[in-house]
Amino acid sequence: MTAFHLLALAGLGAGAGIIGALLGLGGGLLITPLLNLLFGIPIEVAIATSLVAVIGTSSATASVYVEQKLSDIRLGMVLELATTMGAVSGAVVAGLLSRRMLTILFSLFLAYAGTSMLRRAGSRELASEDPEEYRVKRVPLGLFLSYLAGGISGLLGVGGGPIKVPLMYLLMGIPLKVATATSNFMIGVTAAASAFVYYQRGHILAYPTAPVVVGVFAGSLVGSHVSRRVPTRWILWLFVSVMFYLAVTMAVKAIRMGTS
Amino acid sequence: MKDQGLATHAISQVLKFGSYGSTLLMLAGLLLAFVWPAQPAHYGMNELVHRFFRLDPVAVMQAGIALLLLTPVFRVIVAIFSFAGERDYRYTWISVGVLLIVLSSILFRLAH
Repeated sequence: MTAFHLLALAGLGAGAGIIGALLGLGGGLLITPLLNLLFGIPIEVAIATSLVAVIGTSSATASVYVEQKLSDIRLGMVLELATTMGAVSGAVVAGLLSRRMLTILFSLFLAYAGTSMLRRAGSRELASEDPEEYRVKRVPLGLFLSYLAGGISGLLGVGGGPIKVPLMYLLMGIPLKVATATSNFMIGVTAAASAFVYYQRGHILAYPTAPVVVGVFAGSLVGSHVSRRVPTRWILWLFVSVMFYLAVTMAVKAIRMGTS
Repeated sequence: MKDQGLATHAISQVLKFGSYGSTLLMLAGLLLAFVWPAQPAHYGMNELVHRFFRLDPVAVMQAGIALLLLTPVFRVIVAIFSFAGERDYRYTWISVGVLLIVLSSILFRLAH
């Protein structure tokens, strides 16, 4: 591992962190495919690395949301019962799947997340909602879907925001701001539950994890400070294009891999 | 919503300290790695502690990673005590449940 390698990994993390902060998404969606495609890091190690980075950014952002009382801690704790269980299941299942299968699943999830971001860009967010007054609806359904969201997080090393935010906002009657802050609050514990499984398999390594996490952390600090000055719509289109490009590249890679 | 004063402040502090502290440790490890190039490695607990105090770059990075992985666990433990302090026993037990699930993940050791 040369100094150049370390700097390149930190730079990759910084790029993912800036984009993540500008768009209010964890960088997890970009870290895994870039580590895998650009650095040739095995997909299971890339997923584990991304999980650790996701814990870092979500803990830092959640500390602010919690202090501002935007995260609904009680709702978060209830849903975490399901997301952590899902995360452990996802991490165990990931250990049973081939690299090819993991690559295909990641490619599909990228395409899904890209599509859901495009849909969000098309609709206007309701700014008039009161983040104080709301009643939580459909808790059993919320728990079931949270289990699935946790499973995808543990399987693919992503935060799962693109699943949890619409779940809370559209189905459970939570205002969008609170849903985003609560989803963020839940991500750390969810990712940690599966990260312990990856850690014991020896997939969380000082290289590439430390340079990537430091990069993502620095990038998201920068991103959250410049976010008011940058036209988000333009970045959203760029990000979605990159996501679809990566989804296709990973699909092609999986097809060429053969069964392994 | 009930009063969340105690819980919110304590939880927020744990998250802030854990994420910034662990990132600083990893950054320190990276800077050390520029001075003393180190081989990629993965240390067990005893060797990690030993090498950490000798400022082995990989051990310092690994300690940062461990602190970051434990931050959400500390956050749940703090929530348990905060809810208990607010006499909100329902959410105390829900938090205990989350802690048990997270700790149970240490039992899964399936190889790839």
